[in-house]
Amino acid sequence: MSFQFPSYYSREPFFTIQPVLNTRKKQLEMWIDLVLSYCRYNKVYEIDINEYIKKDHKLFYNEKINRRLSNESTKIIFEEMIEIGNGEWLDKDKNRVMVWWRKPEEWATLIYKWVLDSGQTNQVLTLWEIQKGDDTKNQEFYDLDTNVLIKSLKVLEKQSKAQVFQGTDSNLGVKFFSI
Amino acid sequence: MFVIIDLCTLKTLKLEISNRNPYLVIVFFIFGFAVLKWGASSRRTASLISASSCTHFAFKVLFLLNYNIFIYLCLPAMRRGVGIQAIHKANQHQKQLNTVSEQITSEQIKKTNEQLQTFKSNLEEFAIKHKKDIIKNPEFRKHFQDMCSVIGVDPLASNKGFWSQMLGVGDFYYQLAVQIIDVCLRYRSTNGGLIEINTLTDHIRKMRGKAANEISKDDIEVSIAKLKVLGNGFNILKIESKKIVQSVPCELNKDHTDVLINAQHNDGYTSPSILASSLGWSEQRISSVLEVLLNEGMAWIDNQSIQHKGEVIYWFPSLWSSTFE
Repeated sequence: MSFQFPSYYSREPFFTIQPVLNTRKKQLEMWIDLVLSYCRYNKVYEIDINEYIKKDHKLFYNEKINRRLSNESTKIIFEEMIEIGNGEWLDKDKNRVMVWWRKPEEWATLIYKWVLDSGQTNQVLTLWEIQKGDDTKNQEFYDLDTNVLIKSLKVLEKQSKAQVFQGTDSNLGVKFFSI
Repeated sequence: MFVIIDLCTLKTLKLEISNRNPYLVIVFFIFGFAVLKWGASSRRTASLISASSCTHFAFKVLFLLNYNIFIYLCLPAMRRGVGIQAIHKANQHQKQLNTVSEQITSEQIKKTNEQLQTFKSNLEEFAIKHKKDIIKNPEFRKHFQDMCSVIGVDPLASNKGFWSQMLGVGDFYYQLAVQIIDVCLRYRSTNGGLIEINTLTDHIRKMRGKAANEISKDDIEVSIAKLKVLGNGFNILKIESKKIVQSVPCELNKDHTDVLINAQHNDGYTSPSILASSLGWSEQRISSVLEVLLNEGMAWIDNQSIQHKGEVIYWFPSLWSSTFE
């Protein structure tokens, strides 16, 4: 089953950035909501704006009503999304953006909970084990983007719940502590 | 013997006079005249009756005749009365009239009270009997509401009154009013505080859940009318066949509603050139009206309409059949 777009996605003025402040605020909120839920559904962590627009990606182009987001409009939306902590620019030209449909703090909590529940504190785990391991198949962070995972582990490091270190073969390992 | 007849005539006459029957008086007059004639003729034939007694009888009849005339002419004047005694009488008469009228009035009030009492008890009985229908069935509730308003009873006047104790109806509309405010506020940022009444009803139904009592558009209108007490924050705009609930205290004049009506004919949008051609307004008038609607958040712009060759068109989410969410 493919992603179900919300009803506002088929409203024509939704694709034109509104000039009135209050209306625009609401509109951006709706767009961010749409982008985050789309990315969550399709496990998308990274968006290349230029590519998406060039390819008439359906996230920014509704064929049915023939309305699309312009490059500038898309950037306005992602700026706002990053502002509220749901993403990060990946380059200086602001073409590639990391979409955090869960913030690193949220991932950190989920991962740490899983570690506690499965009794793996004080053990060394590889990142690969967290991302692709048999034990995490049912977890939401299965197949998590490496960049996002590292960000999340850094959060745990700050809380002194984990320690990330360089393993062999440039693989990263992590040790979780119980507090 | 004549004396006896005399006395008898007199008595009957008096009786008749007191009854004031004019025909009988005439009969007596003719009778008296006949007796007089008869007396005169009998004198010549040396009759049984003496002349003197005959004359006596004739005088009697004449006297009675006078008396009759007197009574008939003077009695009405006497009845009208003159002098202090008459004034006293008139006063007394007035007093009697007053007491009688008072009696009648008090009786009428008593009767009306009785009727009201019966009516109230019947209405109560009706309300209790149909309590379930009133609460559950919106159509029935509307009819009940209409009936109550016709006779000047307002079930919503107080939530401590008879109606709410009996039905909980008062609370029902207050609760609904709170839900209306809730829904209107939730969508204010996308529709600028304008929401179509059907859409509003759908949302409130969803919000109340399936277990709650069924509500109708009429219920919402009644509740909104109650909300007006709080100021002019809530209003119902009539855009042709549609009713739009306005939840912001913004003064919309005829120009604004005309634009909405125009958009209503146009799938929910309009543009400066559409307005110019259909309403014949000046450019300035159009831009100032649209600006107000845009600033209030009631309109959204769209600059990608190919049909209108890139002219900015204005959409009104309140005219869509579902909320913009």
